[in-house]
Amino acid sequence: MKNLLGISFLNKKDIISILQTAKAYKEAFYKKTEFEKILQAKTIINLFFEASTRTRTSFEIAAKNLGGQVINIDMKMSSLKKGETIKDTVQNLEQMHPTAFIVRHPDSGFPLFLSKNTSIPIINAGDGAFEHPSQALLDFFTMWEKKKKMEGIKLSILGDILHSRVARSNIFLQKMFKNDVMVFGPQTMIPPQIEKLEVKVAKNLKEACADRDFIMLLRIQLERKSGKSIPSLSEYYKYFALKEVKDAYILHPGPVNKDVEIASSLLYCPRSLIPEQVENGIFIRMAIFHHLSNKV
Amino acid sequence: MITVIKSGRVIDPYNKRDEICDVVVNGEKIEAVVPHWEAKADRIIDATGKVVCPGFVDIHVHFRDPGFTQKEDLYSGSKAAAKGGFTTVCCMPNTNPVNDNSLVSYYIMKKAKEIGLCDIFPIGAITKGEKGQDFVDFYTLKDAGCVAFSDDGMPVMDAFVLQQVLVYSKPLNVPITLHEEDINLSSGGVINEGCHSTKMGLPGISNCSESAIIARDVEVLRHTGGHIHVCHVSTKESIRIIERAKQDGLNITCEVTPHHLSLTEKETDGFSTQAKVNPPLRTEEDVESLQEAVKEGIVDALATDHAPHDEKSKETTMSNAAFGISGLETAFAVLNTYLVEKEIVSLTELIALMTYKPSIVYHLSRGTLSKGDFANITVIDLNEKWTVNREEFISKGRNTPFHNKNLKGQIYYTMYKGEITYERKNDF
Repeated sequence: MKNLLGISFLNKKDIISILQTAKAYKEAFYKKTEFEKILQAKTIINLFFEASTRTRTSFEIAAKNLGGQVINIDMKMSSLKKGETIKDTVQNLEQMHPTAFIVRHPDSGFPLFLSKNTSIPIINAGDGAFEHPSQALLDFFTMWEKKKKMEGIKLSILGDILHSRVARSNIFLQKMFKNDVMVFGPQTMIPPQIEKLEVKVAKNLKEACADRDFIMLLRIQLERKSGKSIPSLSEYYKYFALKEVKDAYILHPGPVNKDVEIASSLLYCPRSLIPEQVENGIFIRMAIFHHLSNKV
Repeated sequence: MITVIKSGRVIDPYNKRDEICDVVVNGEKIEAVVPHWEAKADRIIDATGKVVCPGFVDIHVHFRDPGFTQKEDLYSGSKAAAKGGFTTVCCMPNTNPVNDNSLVSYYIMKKAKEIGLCDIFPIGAITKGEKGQDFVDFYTLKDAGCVAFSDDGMPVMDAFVLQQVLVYSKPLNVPITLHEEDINLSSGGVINEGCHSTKMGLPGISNCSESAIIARDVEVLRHTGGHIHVCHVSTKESIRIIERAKQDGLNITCEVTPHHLSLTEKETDGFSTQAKVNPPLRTEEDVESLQEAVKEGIVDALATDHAPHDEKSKETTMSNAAFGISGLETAFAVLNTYLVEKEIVSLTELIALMTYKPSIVYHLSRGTLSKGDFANITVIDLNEKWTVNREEFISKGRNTPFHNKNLKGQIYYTMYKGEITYERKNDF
């Protein structure tokens, strides 16, 4: 694996082996076995053009667990402000011989564009509304842990599907394993022709939550265009938010808007896998580094 | 000087001619079109096996001059036009400064005359600075040489402004050419709204962002009278609205581009910015409906919307990349391949839509081989198959989604006012 540009650039085999590696790392962690320092003396550069706490920190810890060092470049403060193009910036950084770039950018397709302009491996940490592959991988890992299987999973995704890269990466991944994916949200947040991705659109909250293994909530992204998609948070909460759960497990990529997309009482209930997702994020990202450095 | 273009298949749709003939040029005018020219000739061009037709007329190009000459200038644009078989082009006003005053019009006319490779007629802006608010000096700009008025690139969003424009300019009998896009509906969109935009997580431009505002403007036109020309129609719904307006007897005309008649949103796969154009490449259904509209005579002109860009403008993400396709050098071959070869329209009809028909829309008196007309002539090899290579473009803009596509039909000679402006080197 040269880059991790998105789930849509991977095949089933890649995904299974990343999950297996993550599982091995997790077991090693709990057995207090030392991780092999496959990133010893190697530098990873974080190029974040958008705010991120969880994803950036998670990649950072994952790299450090494997002996690597991480440099964070705040792209808002970089020489791009002085008129340098992104292509120039990256080609300059390339001369510092990093092992990989971890990239987050508001434009869909940015990591792909970057990969065509550098020989350094690119890890996509979220691009526009296109992909967030490490998130989908850690979500799938968390589901696999619970269900002990990768196929025959029934997942519902609730929220602003239109603007969500988490939704797209999860849909691509689940459909690769022929799993049953349903989406639900205000119609203004459902992308046109989503059914062409073999995804069902639920008619109401009840249908979206019935007979599901997992219910994934998406953050209502108030800083994006959601403002013109819904009239009020109170109406959203009443008709679209998850307020109770029976047999399904709850997933949420975070950060959570309490009592907007999910009742705060559900956050740490026994069916919630939100803490596990955060923990598993480290092992998945270690596995991603592992696969990029061809240590399989 | 007498030049004879000998023994070609002369297709002159305006004069309903399609036969093997000699075209005789005296100085910068056409002297005669006859079966055999027996009298003297200073120069003979053998056109045996080739098609000889009026020089093409493109009523929609962007030559970026003044202001954006890193993308194109009047000279490089003229050369690209000649290579594409064009002898007349009309330049959109979204330059810097905008062509909203007679100085810019005079500049374009003067420079075009010095270059002398084709007619370049300026199109004036509808509103000052193309801002959609205060309209331009229509009388002054028409006197300065503007043949039509357009805020191309931007719609006239305020219906009241459009109404005033149509009423004010009506005595001048000039086309008001509209880029039809409701920017509140298309806002932020970069490719067609549909399964591709959904899959790539890109903001989409819906069909209705075009058709909704055309419907509005048809009703304004019904109220005011005047002539609306709709630029680059791209959706099946738009065509239906225009067809109905024509049936109602309104003075509305429209153009379609070669790329909207041949390519679909599929070209944007892999975030290919070469396929980013506004209006966007649509679906198979839209393409078929546009082809059908050409066949049924609903389309008045084929126009390239030649929109050259420097490499930097396209070497970026889809959201950031500039809209536009450099179209002059592939236009005929694309249309021949996708319309004539597929038997959607006849070669004669295609040539009509690239010559005298667009000329009528803009009142240019071009596009025929009548005696006494300017000797603007294009010679075509219909049989040559070739593969588009963007590196070979003469235009400064090498931005094309047709790169590596196989086309049929190649321009061999272009003559403008009796002078050869383009000659294909490796043969003939």
